[in-house]
Amino acid sequence: MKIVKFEEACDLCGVNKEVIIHFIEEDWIHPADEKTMKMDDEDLARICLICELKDDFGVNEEGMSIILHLLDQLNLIYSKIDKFHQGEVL
Amino acid sequence: MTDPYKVLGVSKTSSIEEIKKSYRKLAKKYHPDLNPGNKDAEKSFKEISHSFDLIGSAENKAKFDRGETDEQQQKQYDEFTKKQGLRKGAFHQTQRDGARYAHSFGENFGGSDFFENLFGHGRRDKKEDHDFNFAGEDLNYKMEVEFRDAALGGKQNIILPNGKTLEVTIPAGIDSGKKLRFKGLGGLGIGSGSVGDVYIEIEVKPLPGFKRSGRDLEVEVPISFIEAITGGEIKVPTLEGEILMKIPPGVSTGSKLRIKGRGIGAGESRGNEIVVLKVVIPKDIDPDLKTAVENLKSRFEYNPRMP
Repeated sequence: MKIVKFEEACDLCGVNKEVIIHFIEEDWIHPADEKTMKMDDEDLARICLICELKDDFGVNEEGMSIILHLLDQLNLIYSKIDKFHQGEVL
Repeated sequence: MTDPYKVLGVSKTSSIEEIKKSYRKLAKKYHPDLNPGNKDAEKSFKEISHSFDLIGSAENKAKFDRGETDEQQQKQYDEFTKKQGLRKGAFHQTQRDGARYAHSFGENFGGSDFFENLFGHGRRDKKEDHDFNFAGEDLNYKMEVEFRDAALGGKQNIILPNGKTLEVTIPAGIDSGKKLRFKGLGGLGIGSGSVGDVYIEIEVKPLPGFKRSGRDLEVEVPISFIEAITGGEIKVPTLEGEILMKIPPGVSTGSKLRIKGRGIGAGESRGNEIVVLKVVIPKDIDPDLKTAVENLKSRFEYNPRMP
């Protein structure tokens, strides 16, 4: 998993640092390392998703929180479903 | 070549606003982050996004309508697909086993005060509705498995009483009596009780001619007394079909020969096949054969009961 500095994250995602700071203040992203504000692949992909939801789909601030929360639950369910077919030998 | 107007469901005379509106409608429907695991949605979304890039702004639309070269369009598409990894549709790919966001922030499913904080009033506390909480019952089933699948691994479908089909991965080397547990597929809980599990007990069907001995497989193979004395090459059965095996001269009934890596299991932990030889004398003895052996008796007589 790639870890990048805050400034590099801004470049990779094509956004200003104020934008990412706002996302953090809104609790939409939680940097992999909250002390140094370094971010991993999950954070970068999530920043890009938020930008897309805002810019392309017109999602507002309140809607963003709900959507991200629902997506997290959905992804959790899918990852658990993947495990069902494995079974666990007793 | 892609016709972006067709993909977006608009005409050449549509305004940019109309094109954007159509794109947004389609993108919401097929966005891969909103359709996790759906490969068709992902494929459709890429086409929709690429089409929008081609005609989604006044400048790009004018260029496209004037007819850009195939080379330039392909270059744009190649750059577009390279960026896909960081832009559209990448989030769901990061949300696999152990992902932080799914497992840290999705875990409050069914018990979160998220909505309470968001709307300023609480959902009804489930504890007020129920005086008791019980976990759902565990469900037990038996499943018969072919010898070969149990030995080498395989897949099998089982239909649960509720009508659902469960695809079961049979681990290589599993034996009768072992159980497979599938969490969360059992009976529903009461109140905030968890859902029960499904347990499937394995019953391995016997395979004639093969006997399991731990991780090894035993096979009895008959040989003639001539082969026992002179040695030779014989066909022996394995789980993957017949193979040729050399037997050394001087073997007897009960002699064991090992074929490495043809036993039970998979990979480096797979056991061996043990071929147990059995010398078989012909049922109807040819009179000439009898005479020949009697002639050799005086020269080669021996007593196998003596040490």
